[in-house]
Amino acid sequence: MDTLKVENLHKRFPVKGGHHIFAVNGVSFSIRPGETLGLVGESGCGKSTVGRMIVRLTQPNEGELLFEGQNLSHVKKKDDRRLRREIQMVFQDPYGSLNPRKKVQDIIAEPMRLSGEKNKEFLKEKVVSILKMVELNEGYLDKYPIQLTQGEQQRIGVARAFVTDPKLVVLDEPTSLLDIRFRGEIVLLLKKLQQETGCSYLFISHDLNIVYQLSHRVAVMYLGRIVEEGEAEQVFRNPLHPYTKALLSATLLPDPKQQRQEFFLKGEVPSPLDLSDSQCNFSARCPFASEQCKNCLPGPVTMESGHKVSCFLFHEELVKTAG
Amino acid sequence: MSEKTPAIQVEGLTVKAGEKYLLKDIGFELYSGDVLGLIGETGSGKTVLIDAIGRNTAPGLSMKADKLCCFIDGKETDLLQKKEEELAATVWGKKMTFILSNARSRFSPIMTVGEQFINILKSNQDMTDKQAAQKVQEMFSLVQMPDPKQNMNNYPHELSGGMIQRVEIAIALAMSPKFLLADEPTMGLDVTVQRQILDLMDGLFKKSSSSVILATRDLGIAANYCNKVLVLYNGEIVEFSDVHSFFENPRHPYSRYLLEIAFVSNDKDPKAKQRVFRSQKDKGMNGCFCSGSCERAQEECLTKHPQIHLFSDGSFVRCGRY
Repeated sequence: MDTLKVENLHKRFPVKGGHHIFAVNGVSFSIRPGETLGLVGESGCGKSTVGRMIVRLTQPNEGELLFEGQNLSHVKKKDDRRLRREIQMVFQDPYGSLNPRKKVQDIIAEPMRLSGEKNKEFLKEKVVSILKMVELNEGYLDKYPIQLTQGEQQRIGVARAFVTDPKLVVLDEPTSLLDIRFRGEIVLLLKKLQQETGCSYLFISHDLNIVYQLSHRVAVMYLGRIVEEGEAEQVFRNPLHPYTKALLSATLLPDPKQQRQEFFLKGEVPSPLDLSDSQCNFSARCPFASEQCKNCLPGPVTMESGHKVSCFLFHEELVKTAG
Repeated sequence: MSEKTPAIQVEGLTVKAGEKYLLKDIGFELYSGDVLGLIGETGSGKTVLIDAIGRNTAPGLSMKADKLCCFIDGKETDLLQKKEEELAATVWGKKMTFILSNARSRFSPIMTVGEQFINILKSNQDMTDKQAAQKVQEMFSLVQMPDPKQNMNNYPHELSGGMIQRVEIAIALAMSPKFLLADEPTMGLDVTVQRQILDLMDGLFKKSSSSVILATRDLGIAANYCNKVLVLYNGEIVEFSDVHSFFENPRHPYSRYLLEIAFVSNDKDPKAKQRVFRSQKDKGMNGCFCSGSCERAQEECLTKHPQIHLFSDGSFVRCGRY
């Protein structure tokens, strides 16, 4: 059974004057136990909103969220605490996500205390063991967040997420505010933790290099929709959707010998305000756009490799091969 | 490629906040056409260095240098001794301009970007309103603003981060400066916007052969847009070399570590090095901050602060092992 199954998720935010921001528009995907799904896209694509709906910080307008078969929109009181232990989150701002007035040991123990755990001995033991898992020693127990480096702060954020033995951790841009050397360290730590615990990750990020490093599968979002999805290797080596191609060609490798790929995309992501669902929302910037793209929303097509893409370029291909 | 004419020379630049060193003994040389990638973590001193060159060191900090000068039309201009008024009249905003990250905070929210740009132009050059407005439109087209005519009448809050950054770049380039200092100019921008802006700047630098100092935390940016690299750590120079040598054969253990950890992101090799870098700077030792993690470290690395070793090609590294 899938750890997480998301079906046709929608979220819109009303704006004065009868308008709406269409943040998430029909997103579907699933995550298997022990698997990492990388959710990539630029600002405004809705990826963070998807993450927040999964941890129930906000409710979807439409669609289903199933965690191990259980519907997250109708959670009974008796299941609420358990689900909060099993689905955890790591945030983007390493310092901002920690209570500056609490010591490290209290920050990490808090999720367990909120779950009803009262035994002080057990709490202390668990905190020390989680600190060890994130490669920090007991000397950190009495420190305050301000005394830690960015990398250490984010390790505490990770420790706090893992202390309840979660089955799914949503990571919302956990490395984008970190300096270079801390990014790599956190990536290695997350890999190690997944190997040790078998936890699933929803890894939300705009940093393709890091997503590639951690993810088994990747979904690319644009203006609230998934435009491409597949095995990380497939999507990165053989991107199909023009937007995915643009994203990958924008990436800069730390290697001066390799000529950087030519980048063809112009302009910026348009606003998700009053977004239309009767056309491909990328068509205005797409070099391959045709009349069809401006009049109709392309649905997902599954290629032989299992790679999914929502683009009319591929609808035609299938029609050609079928006919 | 043009002959190597010196552009910026810095020697013994030190900035202190009381007793604490924010920058210690910084020295390097740039030639015209050089694009220097200034690499360092938060707190390494990148911004302090850029501020110091622009004589914009925050009040309360002390700045001194043995030499700080730039070369305009072959003539040496002392940036340290000259009076601020003189430099403001001849250098800043004209020959030497700045691009900062978080450009939005530099704009007045109650005036349109067009008005502000026109004011800046007129304060630097003798121009009529009409001439200035014309120039603004030209520059807006150059930096690929979506609608130059309309954008002139926009207020800063009406423009996205990417667009404000383009306006900032347009202002910095309007006077065809010989020197450009950019402090993380694309930080916080979407990757596709960042790429457009960097490609744009790259094209403009190449045309004008200005000298650029580009502070960044992103090794990808340094690798693709710079021809020289200067690494700072905790206010001191760690390494200075050309970009190819730096990425192919970094000399300092800190540089090597940064490159390893950056490549970790590109390489799914499960056997990738797992060592964690522990800086010794907080232990109050006088030695090298890498002495705990460097495989070449010896006794003296723990106690003796390493000096700069200069190589014949002009590159240098702060390491006692050379």
